[in-house]
Amino acid sequence: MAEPQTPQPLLQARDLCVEFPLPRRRTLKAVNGVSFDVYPGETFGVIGESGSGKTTLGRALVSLIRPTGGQLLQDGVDPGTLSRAAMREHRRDFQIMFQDPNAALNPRVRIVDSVMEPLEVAGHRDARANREAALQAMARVGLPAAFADRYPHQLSGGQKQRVIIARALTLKPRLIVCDEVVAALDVSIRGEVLNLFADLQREFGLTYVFITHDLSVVSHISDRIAVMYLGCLMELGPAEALADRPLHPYTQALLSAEPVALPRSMRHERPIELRGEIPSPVDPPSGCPFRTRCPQATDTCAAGRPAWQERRPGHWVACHHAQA
Amino acid sequence: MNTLPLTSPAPLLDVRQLQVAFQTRQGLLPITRDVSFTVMPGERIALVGESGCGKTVTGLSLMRLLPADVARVSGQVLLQGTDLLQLPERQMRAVRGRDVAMIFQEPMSALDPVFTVGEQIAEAYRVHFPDRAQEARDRTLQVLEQVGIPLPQQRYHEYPHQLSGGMRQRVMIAMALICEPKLLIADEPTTALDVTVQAQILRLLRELSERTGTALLFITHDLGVVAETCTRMVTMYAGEVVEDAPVDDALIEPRHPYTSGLLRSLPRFSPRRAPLAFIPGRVPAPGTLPEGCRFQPRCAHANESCQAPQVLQAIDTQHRRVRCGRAPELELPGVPTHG
Repeated sequence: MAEPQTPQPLLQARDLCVEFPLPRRRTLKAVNGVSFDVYPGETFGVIGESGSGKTTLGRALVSLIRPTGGQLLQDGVDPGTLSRAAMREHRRDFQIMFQDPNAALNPRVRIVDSVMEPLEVAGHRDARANREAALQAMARVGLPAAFADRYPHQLSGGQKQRVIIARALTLKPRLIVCDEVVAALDVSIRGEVLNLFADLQREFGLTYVFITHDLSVVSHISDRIAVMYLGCLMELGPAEALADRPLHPYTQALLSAEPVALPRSMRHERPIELRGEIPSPVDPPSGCPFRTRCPQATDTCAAGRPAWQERRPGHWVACHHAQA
Repeated sequence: MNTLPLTSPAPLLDVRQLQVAFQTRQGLLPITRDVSFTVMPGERIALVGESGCGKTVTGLSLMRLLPADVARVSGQVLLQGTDLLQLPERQMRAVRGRDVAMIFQEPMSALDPVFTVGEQIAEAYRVHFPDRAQEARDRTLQVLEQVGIPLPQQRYHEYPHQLSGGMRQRVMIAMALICEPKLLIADEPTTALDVTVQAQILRLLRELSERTGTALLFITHDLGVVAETCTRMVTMYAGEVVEDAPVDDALIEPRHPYTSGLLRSLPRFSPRRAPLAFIPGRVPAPGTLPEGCRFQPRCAHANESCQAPQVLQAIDTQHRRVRCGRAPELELPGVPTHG
């Protein structure tokens, strides 16, 4: 029997950095040296608080922002080396969706025209075929043809989010970065949209990078979860292991900070409460970025940035004190 | 209909049949209807619901902060027996910030960028206690310390933009508490904050309420926040109160199908990677409300009896009320209480 082969990762990030120049020769290190792989067909969750760099990372993964350091391979290809024409073809496979469907849809453009726009941008000139493809994608996400000629303001939040999903589907991408895609939806309809994501993944073999601040969502839908803090990865592991037995003190604090809808008798008092807030990424702490808020921090943590180590199979952590 | 025993203390706030409608070009648009609940002294009540349910409008109408030319407010808002809706504006101004204070989701829009935080907090004190104006500064430093702001002496002279999001929300809380109000209305005060900072602010609100006896009306969509912060939960749907119960009872054994549906929609309570529960359909827009029970088009338990108007009535004990005629015969799932 042949050895089980690890499939070629769809995304490979190696020491990836994205820095933005600021006045007075300062730089903002939004993404500060992260390394991970995303495999075909998986849901890769990225969790972090505001200012963690998760949105910048997502944009870099689909080449909306050029990395300033390290390497990013999309399906084994460095997008920075492609010609403009080759890039246009290449980037169809790597799409992104954002949080606010209101901002993503032009209020003066009919729904069907918004959905077929990516095809036009990708160079498909046959308007009738484009419209047909758009209607198909809409039908697949549960939007009947009657919606085609409506405008965004005539749709509910959940319906608008479906339009965004349909639009990403028209190009038949292999990977979609979903940046806070359900954050604007009410709890009672959120489940329906998340179920749709899962169905589409099965049907089209999609790969998701699911970026969110919502722990309960990310741990429900992800195969693996990466935890970001101040531009760095703190921990990366299988969803279940990470949620049930986190290794990094930050992940532990994050999990214990989530308010849980359970009666008093079934809740334990919060074991770890973090003091203060996330420091500015313009002026990050020396050594471990989390050390200023870490209950376990020692002098070692200020001295050097902890190495990114595989402490359990497939479970990576950057912490001087993490116990496997 | 007085079912309360004579010994029970008088409520701090007694909201009776509060109704808000907005004047539009198409006529009067009803937003909330028959909103009734009470807040006992020191009690922490959650006003829960999804976007558009009328929870924020209810909070604003209690403080009479809705624009008078647009909003038609009727019913009674009795604060220790005085109907706030009948007060002349001048007297209402004395109530706002003094007896009842309010904080909002976005502290930056509630703080004036050109005044130091200390000045803004002290101002609230001077307005309500003009004869004790010289104490304002000391009192401000005290209250800054109380809400957990380090180095109050230094922070006093800083401007809002120099503070982080969590610190700004603490400043808002300090400003709300400086006059020691009896009731604090908090509208989604932690929604804009990160989860680790939210945990700090929730604890602060809970502890301040316990220590000072300030009652809390906490407006939120987050059932986890409700469970951690409040003692009673008033659930709203499409402009009406549909359930009113002690938090733990509502979580374990909800009596309204909407409350039950909300709880079951939380991802935490579905097995990992299994399809999530949800409530089919969507909240009806004001002006397109169904006859009878407003939740009926989305309810799995609806039958012909639901076409009739539903009243909020006591169920199980006198401490629980539900707006569902079928509630006595239904057994609805709440949060899983095993494992």
